[in-house]
Amino acid sequence: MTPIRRRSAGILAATLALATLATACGGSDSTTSSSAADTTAKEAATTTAKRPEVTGTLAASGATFPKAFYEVMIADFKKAQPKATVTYAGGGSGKGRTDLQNQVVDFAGTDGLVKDADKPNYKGGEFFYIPTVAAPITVSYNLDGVDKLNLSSDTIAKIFQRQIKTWDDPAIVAENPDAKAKLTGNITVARRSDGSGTTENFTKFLVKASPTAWNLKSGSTVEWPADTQAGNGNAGVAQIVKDTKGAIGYVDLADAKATGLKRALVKNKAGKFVAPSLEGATASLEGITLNADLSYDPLWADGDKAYPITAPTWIMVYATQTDKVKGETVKEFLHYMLTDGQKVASSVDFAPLPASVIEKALAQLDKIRIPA
Amino acid sequence: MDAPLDFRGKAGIADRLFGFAALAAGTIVLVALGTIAFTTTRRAWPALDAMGFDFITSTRWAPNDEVFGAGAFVYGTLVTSTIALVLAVPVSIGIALFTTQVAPPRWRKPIVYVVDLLAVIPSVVFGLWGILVFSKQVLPVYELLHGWFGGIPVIGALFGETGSGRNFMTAGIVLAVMITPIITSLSREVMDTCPTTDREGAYALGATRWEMIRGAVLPHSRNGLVGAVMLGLGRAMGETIAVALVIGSTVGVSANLFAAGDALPARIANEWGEAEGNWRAALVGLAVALFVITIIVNLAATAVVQRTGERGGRR
Amino acid sequence: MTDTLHDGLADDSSSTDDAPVFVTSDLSVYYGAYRAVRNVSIDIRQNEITSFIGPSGCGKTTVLRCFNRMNDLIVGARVDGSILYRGIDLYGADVSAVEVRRHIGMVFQKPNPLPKSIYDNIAFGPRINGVRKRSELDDIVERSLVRAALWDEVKDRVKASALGLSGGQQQRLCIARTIAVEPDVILMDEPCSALDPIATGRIEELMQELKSDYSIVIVTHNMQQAARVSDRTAFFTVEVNPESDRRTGVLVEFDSTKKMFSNPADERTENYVTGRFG
Repeated sequence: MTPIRRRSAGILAATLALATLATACGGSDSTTSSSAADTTAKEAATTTAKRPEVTGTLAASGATFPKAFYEVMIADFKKAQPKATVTYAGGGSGKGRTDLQNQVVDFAGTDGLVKDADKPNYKGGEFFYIPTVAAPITVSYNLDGVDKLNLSSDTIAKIFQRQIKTWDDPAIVAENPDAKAKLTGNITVARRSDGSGTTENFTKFLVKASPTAWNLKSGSTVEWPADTQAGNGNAGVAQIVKDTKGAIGYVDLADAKATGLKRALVKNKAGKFVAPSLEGATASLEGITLNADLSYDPLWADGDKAYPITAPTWIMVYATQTDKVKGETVKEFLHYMLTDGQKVASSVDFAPLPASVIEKALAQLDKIRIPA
Repeated sequence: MDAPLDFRGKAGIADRLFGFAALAAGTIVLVALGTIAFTTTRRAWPALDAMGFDFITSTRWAPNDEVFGAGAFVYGTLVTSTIALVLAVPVSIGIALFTTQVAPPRWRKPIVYVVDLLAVIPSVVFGLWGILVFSKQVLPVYELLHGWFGGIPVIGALFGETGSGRNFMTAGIVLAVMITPIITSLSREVMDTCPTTDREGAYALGATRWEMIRGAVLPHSRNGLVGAVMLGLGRAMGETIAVALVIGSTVGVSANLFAAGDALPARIANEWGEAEGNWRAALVGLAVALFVITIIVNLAATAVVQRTGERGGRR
Repeated sequence: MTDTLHDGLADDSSSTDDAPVFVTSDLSVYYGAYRAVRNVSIDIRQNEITSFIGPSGCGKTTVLRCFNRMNDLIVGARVDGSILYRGIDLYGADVSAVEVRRHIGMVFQKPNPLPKSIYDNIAFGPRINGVRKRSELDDIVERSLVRAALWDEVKDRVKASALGLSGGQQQRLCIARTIAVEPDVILMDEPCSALDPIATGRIEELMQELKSDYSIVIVTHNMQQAARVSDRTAFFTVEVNPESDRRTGVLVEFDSTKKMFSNPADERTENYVTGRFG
């Protein structure tokens, strides 16, 4: 158990320039470039020494939540290493883990951790979790005249369980006394139709923050009440919220921004209402404890500024590689992601990891065994 | 005539080769079917074994509790396919009759072309159209129907409250649009094979066009029409993406056609990516259930055809 | 409108026994721009069998199909001249082809029972004419089958598929089906060409029996058949336009069968009936 503390330093201007460049290339609509987020990444990434050339072709699948970031990484990595090729098929964390189990991919993206019971099924033996980025999950809503909405986890739990069905419910009004006049109408709850890491992290947050109020448990899909509305993917949920007056749903930050949704401030463990932002996510990462296998839980984290629904994501890779070229390429790709890659994370609405986590992750990379 | 007569012929080997190839092709189909049934059942076994008969009868699907009941999805598949058939069959047969029996010849080609064009539209397009356009615009119609029929006993249960445009009815309608070209196309083909002599026979007895159709074209095409409907039904039951987008993805059994639900293939598509272990096995189990239902429905249809065939015309 | 046709017929048929059933004057049939038959004038008499003979392509079937407006079903087909059926212009503006066919039945070259049971084949006509009562239909079916000399062969299996019958039986079923709607005229388009001699014989016998109640027009390729069964014979032939190579059917001669086969007026007829042509 290693507590992580942020050390702040860095060259803001250079980072901003880089982020802007990436934005221009990626065509994303990023606007945030917080000093807190960028400086942590910057610091870890200062060691841009000449890297060895790699030539492998990698196939990967898994979580869709960080896919936007990985796609940027793959494109940038191609520029740095023209002879290497990486494809990331997405498909979901479960698919990624199953594919890695059966050794049909070279690495896998996952939003969740492997159950101990499943570990013996991994045909390649021991594997490492390499944390890559984190991102806030927003609670977005559609309510005319209410630009600022405060919600506690208990209220969110009751809304998503359909115990609170109208916006003028006392629980909501109590948290938003100033908006009382505008809190009217029925609530429409939007949630995912597909199994999803977003759902898993959102429900894990509710289990952790409101263990008594929330009783649907957690998982990549849960037993939603029948009168909730299902959307496919973050974009699908965002669309329902956008189209429906009085709707509320959980959506990742990138899609919430792209759809132009209003995003609720969520009460964190310290009792403060915090808006979903990369800064809030980074603040959550500062309060975490990193386990020996580099798993960690940034949900419901300590800290005044911590946004409480911050989702982690990892890349899983076998500790013992069987192919020299591929092994070197995996290592190099992950190295790239943990160093130069961190600088562009915010351009696609992902929070870079704190330097201390990067340090541990790089150390873990060094432990990957590659045949001579 | 000096050459000795040789009646052995060269057709012997070719015929035998052809016979062998045909047999092999037939066998491959059976083997493939058997292999699919076996391997899917085997992969689904952990979940089927754990759930037992509840896998089909239970309507609770809770992966985080390791409870897998396919009942709600079986129900959703049957309900949406039924809606699709009820809507698509009359329309398809109507279009087929129109193009083969009624429309002036120079209209036939354009109509056939347009209908066939519907058949090549990828299902995801139908799904997106369903979710972005249709499900929203149809909502007032649902509310109207609810207002008209909601209060009637028994029938009213079908026309309950509507939450969103994503429900059994929308899925059924989208499926109907998708299967109409298939049923139309095949119906048209069989109706076209109705001999002119049969049609003239009916006309010569003083039949109007409709009486001729009922007397000659429909009896003649009956088997083919049942086949066309079965193929349409097969597509409706197996359709995944379009249904996944518009059915509402809710685990529930409701007589209300305006309630959200889910269907077997849609659930598989929605959860496959995140599923592991028994959950994954249970999803494969849904596929097995779909397989079995399809076979049952087809056997039932064949039985119906044979029974009416004995009563009716065909030998 | 259909009823007026019907009423008009009833009056005429009872009063004018000697008047021809059909009076065809200067009939030409076109398929699009192509003239298939030209200038046919012919009278068909009541309770007689009239046969049309002639080589292939001479237009005899085309003319026959004008008598019950079957040519209407062919796109582009058009008729010039007139056919009066008991005084009514068959191609008149307010005459319905459907109603015409209820009075003028037709038996085709190839037996064409509908893919239904024997019973339903015969009941089809009466049903579309509005007969609904079971007992009445049973009566009609039995009467028609008896009249067509098929009853004894099929009485135990009238609910079986009509497609299970032999070719000759099927053709007699088609005749029974035609009788069932109680037409005035029966048109037969080479009704025996798909049948063996025994079945042909039975159909010919049947025609002789039916003659007392119906007027019959038969197209046949078989000159012996025409000579055996018919009272009058019309001989058609083909004219070939040397410039366009277009073939047009014309009526050569129409007279009593006896005269046509023994002492025809036209040389072309003589050549044909003696087997020197066609």
